Amino acid sequence: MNHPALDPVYFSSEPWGVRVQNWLAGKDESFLEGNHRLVRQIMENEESGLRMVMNISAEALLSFLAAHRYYNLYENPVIGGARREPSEERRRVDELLAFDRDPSNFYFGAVALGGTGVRFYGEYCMAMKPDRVHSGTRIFDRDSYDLLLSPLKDEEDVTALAKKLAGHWKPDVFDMLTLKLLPELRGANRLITTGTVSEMILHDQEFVEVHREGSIYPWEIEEVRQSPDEIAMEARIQARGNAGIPPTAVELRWLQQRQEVVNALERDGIRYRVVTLHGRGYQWR
Amino acid sequence: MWYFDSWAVLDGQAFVSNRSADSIDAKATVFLSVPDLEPVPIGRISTALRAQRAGFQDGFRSPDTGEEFEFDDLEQVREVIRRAYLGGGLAPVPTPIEGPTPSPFRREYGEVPEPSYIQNGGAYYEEAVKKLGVPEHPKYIFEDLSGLSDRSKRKGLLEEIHRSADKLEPFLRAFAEASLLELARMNAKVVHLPSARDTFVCWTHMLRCLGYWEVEWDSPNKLALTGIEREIAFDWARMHYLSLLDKSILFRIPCPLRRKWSGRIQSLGHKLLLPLVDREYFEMNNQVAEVIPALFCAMVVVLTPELFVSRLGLLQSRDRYRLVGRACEWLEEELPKVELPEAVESQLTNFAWRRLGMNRDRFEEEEGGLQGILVR
Repeated sequence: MNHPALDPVYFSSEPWGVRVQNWLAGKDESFLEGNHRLVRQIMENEESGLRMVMNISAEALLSFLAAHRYYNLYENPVIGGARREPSEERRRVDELLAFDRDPSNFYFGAVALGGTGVRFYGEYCMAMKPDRVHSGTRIFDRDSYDLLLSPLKDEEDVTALAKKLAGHWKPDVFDMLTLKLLPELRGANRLITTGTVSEMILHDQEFVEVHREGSIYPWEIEEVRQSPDEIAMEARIQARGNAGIPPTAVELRWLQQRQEVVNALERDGIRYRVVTLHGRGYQWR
Repeated sequence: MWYFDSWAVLDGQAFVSNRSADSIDAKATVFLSVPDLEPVPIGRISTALRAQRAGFQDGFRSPDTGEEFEFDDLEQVREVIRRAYLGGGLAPVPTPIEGPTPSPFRREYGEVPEPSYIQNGGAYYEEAVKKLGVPEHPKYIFEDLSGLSDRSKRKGLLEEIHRSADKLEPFLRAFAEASLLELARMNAKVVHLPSARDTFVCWTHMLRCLGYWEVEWDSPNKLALTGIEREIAFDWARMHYLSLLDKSILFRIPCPLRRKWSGRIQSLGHKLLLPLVDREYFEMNNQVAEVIPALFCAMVVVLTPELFVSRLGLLQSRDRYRLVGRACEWLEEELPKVELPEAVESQLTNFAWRRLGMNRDRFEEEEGGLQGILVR
């Protein structure tokens, strides 16, 4: 079956900066240039700008803080058995990402501007200190597992395609994100805000992936963020209890686990905050 | 059929897909997460597979054959995630071997009070059970409560237990008192520290609200505490400011241990979780004295101000029946209730006991510590 061709500007072999220029060429829109400048300015500010974030769930976070290093709790399944052979999908992704060293030594994160990361991968979002993300850190313009699905998997040379979608933190992260954002800004009749940029950089399951080599340690964490959703749920369970509706066993354990996380973060002196989705608005401890 | 794609077992989060075994060609992929475990549709399976790079387990497979376990519907999936999550709570909370250097301002000064000598709670319960024997019941239910493991018999049995609340009262009281003794004993050396005092105050208050600790300063005590524990139990100022109905306290109260129970059971929370995860728990633990801990813990969970047991003799009995009824209702809802493939049941059971086995053995640690004096 013939698929429509991929956008030749985006999916090109040119450096990401050139792709941005090529995309902008010939687009005569009054707000596009201004928004382009704004997007760069918002992202490039070192103190409030981009971060590598890793979402982590409560038990994994407790283990990370206890062991003083990040490791995969489920290297071997904790319940049930392992596959008889390594997952074909995982092998394929490793192959396409062309890790030149042991792939198991790479830790996957996402690029974010504020916010609480990719919720599906854990309710706690660890933001790395910017100076702990090496400029040579590899990035990928999307969830690398999307390479296993159509339309990307149907391309004639998926390996070459994967190479086109990869880059390094420096110099590519700003250009890669700019190219992700600009098409969304076409036809805009106003200037963009930080909140919108933040949401466009990482929205739901849509993110730029970071592959950091080497283990991660608690002292490399700038802060741990969480979404108000969980806080509201916590309060709701407690309020329901006061109104005479007892918690379920799961709720009981969940509340207890969350309290353990707060205790551990306090113990280790790691800053933790509750932030709204776009990292603005209310922020509290 | 539904299959697990990626699963963070200890965090109660999983991606599952409607697909064939060992395929990524999914008709639907959903994400389920505690506490509500409501399925959230995920557009693409790649998000689910990518989770294995973010600390999720790769699927759920038979350890014998390596084949994926399959489930008929999301109700079964939800039950598996729920029970495995509860089972995860049976192991110790990960804590560093060596914590950070404490701030000098947190250093403790002053004399540490001499620890009181308090009877072992497990021995106290053991002794009480021996004295009480088996309560009579026209249907002989207390001779064998293994029916609690059977979904078809459970509800009727719990209704009988509710109707027999008065007969169970001495057992529940003995276990409640044993828990207080055990808490006092285990914390004897640290009871001067604020967190231990908070726990102590919260627990005595909880027992008071459940109707199992009527001690007043001047009344003849059924179970009295001496020494510093007595002073702390009446620390009204502290009581006033604490969140007194914090149910997660169950995970902080040491479980009184009968000799035949596993020494790896640390807290009342553990004693409650075991029957919620292991479907066959009550088949082995079918005596009334074995069912009491779960019933007692359920009473703690369901307790709200409107269910407080009155100190007025006229109301007390009705209040107790009501509270036991609510606890039975909660247990009916929480005990394993969805039918799962046998192989999956056995995985859940093994998992629960393996997790429990990660705790230190209290009997080994306390060799010879089961003797003591009754503090009366």
